[in-house]
Amino acid sequence: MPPTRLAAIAVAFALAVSGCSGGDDDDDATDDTDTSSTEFERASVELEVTRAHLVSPHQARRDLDAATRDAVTGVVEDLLLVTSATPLVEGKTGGGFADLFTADAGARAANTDRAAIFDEGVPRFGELTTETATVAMTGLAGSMDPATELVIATFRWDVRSAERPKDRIVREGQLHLVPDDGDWKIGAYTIVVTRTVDESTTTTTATTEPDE
Amino acid sequence: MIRRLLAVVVALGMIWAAGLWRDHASAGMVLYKVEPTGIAGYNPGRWTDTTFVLLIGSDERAGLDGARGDGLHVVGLNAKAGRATILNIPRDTWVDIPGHGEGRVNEAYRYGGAELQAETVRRLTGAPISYVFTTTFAGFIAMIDALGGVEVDVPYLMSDPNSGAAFNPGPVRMTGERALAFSRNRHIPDGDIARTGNQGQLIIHGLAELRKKGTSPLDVIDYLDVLFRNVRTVGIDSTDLYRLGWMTLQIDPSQVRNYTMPARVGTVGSASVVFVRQPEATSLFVDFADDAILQNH
Repeated sequence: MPPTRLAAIAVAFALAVSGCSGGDDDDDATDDTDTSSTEFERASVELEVTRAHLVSPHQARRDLDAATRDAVTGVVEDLLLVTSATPLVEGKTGGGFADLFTADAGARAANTDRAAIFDEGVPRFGELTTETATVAMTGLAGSMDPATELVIATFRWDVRSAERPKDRIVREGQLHLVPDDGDWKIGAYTIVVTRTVDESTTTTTATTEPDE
Repeated sequence: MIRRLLAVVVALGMIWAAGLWRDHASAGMVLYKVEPTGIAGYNPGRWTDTTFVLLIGSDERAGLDGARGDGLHVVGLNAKAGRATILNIPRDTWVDIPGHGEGRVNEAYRYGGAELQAETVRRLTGAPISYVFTTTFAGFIAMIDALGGVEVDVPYLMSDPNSGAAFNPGPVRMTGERALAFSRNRHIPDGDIARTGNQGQLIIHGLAELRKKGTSPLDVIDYLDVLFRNVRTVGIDSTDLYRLGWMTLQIDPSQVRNYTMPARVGTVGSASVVFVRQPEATSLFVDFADDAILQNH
């Protein structure tokens, strides 16, 4: 079964940029716009959910409830938005990173594993062309408590620069999410990112364990 | 009908999940959480870096009055170090069975099931056992077959009509039936003492086979899905199982020690038994129980 392609990311446009070029080779169109407004690309991420199952003791595998599915999808989308789409499109990292992780995992992701987690230091891609943007998840319910106790989310995020199609970022990973005060947070992760820029390809990996 | 290998068993010390055949019912496999008692400072409710699991191969089968724990192995997992130790206990080891006086260690299972068997082994070794996995012969065969068989390095010629073991020395790919015969054969040098060591080796091979099928977090949940449908769980939270499975699958089989309790063959009355050999055994137990790693052995 071929994987579903192109679930999407939206790169939006707003207003016209004026006078921001300072030497950049900006589009000619910017010369004609109102200097009081700015056109810039805004990053966004939308993932296609390809599977959302729940495993629990003594019951057949079944669908994960919609609330958990949507919440977990939102966390993964936010992670990609903050760490990849925003840096690539807007040239900066997004906000709210720490809210996506448990404390220990967040500290590790922001420091030790930063090179794999963030697409920083990469030339701006501008508008993105999405090859793949999917997430699949499997939850595990409790033996004594039927609530979902953890979710493993597997994602693939494969985007190119619309301007320079050879420049490409492919992020794949498994995230271990746990409930935390009404939210779902990433408690552990395995992330592999392959970056192709200027015809040079590098692969970086980061892995933590559930109790780290 | 296409046979679909849904997966295997997660294993605490190694083989603990059973695999698959659709519609196959549990083949007598149970995974328990047991509460260690009398061990200062141990909190079973909190996940720790070192975990001890007792694996029991029961001889329960039709026509047998009262099952016994014939294969006894304490598996110590040290997650932080990525290492594990299998401590093999010969089934005829003469010990004190709480509430029942002296007897062979495997009789504890007949008197009080997994709980008493765990308590008896715990008192013998000092290892704070918190999980017990029991399997019958049928369950054992099912597990090995679900793994797609297991390759075992047979240490010497085996030709035993009682167990059905017939192997030349060297690597042998075994089905569940053949692996059971290998693990039950006691007509070998050092008899039951060597047999329990062979069982430990089989467990390590089982771990290696399981790891070939995948070790990711998602694989762990897939294995749990199979386990939930084939193994009865008692008193265990799903997240504990997940962590246990994850922990086990991260351990490279080359980092697993297989060690048999120091013992000597003797008699009690007319009965042939195995005695704990001291002081070597106490030294071993202390070395093992603190962190599941044998630093001095």
